[in-house]
Amino acid sequence: MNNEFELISKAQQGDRHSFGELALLYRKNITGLAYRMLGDLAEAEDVTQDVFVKAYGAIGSFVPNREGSFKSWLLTITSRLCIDRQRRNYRLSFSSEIEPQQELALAGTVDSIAETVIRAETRRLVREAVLRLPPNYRMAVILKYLEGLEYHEIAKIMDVPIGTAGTWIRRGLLQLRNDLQTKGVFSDEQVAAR
Amino acid sequence: MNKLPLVDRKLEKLLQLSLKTESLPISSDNGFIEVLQQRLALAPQAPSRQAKERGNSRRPERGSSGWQSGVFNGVAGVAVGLILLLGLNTLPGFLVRISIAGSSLAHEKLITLSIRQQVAWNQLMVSLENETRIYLQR
Repeated sequence: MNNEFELISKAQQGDRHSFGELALLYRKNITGLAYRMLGDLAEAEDVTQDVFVKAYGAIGSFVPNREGSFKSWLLTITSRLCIDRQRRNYRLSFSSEIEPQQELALAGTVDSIAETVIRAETRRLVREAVLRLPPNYRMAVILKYLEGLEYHEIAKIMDVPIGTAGTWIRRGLLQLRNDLQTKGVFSDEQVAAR
Repeated sequence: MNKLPLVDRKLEKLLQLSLKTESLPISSDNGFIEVLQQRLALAPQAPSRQAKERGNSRRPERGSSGWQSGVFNGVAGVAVGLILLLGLNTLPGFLVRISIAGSSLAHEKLITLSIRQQVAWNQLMVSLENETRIYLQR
């Protein structure tokens, strides 16, 4: 963490090399968030570049105690850029060529082929359902379940009151549940058990 | 939180599993950094906090000038206000005096005019009598 402060301090003096090291530390988080938000890896990588260029331009005004952690600050920029981009260029499609590789990696080796296929299909349905959420709900849900952030952190990143962040997550989950129910991801017994 | 319905708990678990991105085939770090450094070289950086603080430390000079200007403006404002106040207080009396002066002047002018007219009339009558008398004598 000290190393991070040092890198931030150097970047604030205009040291691009130090900023590059910072970018490598958080690159995967930013690309992952942007990918889950936009559903397209090329676009997510493009947004990641934009996030770091924007962050470099504004790093002089970054104050750790006021803005929270550097990662939170980057997630804030990512959130805004992704929502803006999403509103400009609405799309639902997933890059299908990536998913099978990812699914194989996620499935592990202990499951049978049938279980692996079922799980992969379920996850694909979940991700597609996430992409159908309105941008604000989607970002809140992704921050909660991809980054594992608390409501107050999500509220700060999305610059809304905590209640609003909570509402977006609840409504997002409700919409996801209804969507996945129609796709048969949840069985009737499970829904009835509620 | 432990009382989440079964479906919601399953959904949350599904989300946690489905949104994982560890195995995303992202581009190489070298390629990423190369492009980023090229873009950063073109991107202007906002002034750092220290630079802003240095900038703030010079502000009292400008503040001093602003303070003097503020006092000057205040004094000028008060003076204009007083003049207006006094002017408004004396305006009715001034208007009355002007009216009286104007009407007395008009009165004098009228009197003067009527005297002159009377004199002229008298002169005319005298002249008429003289000429009548001269005519009768002929």
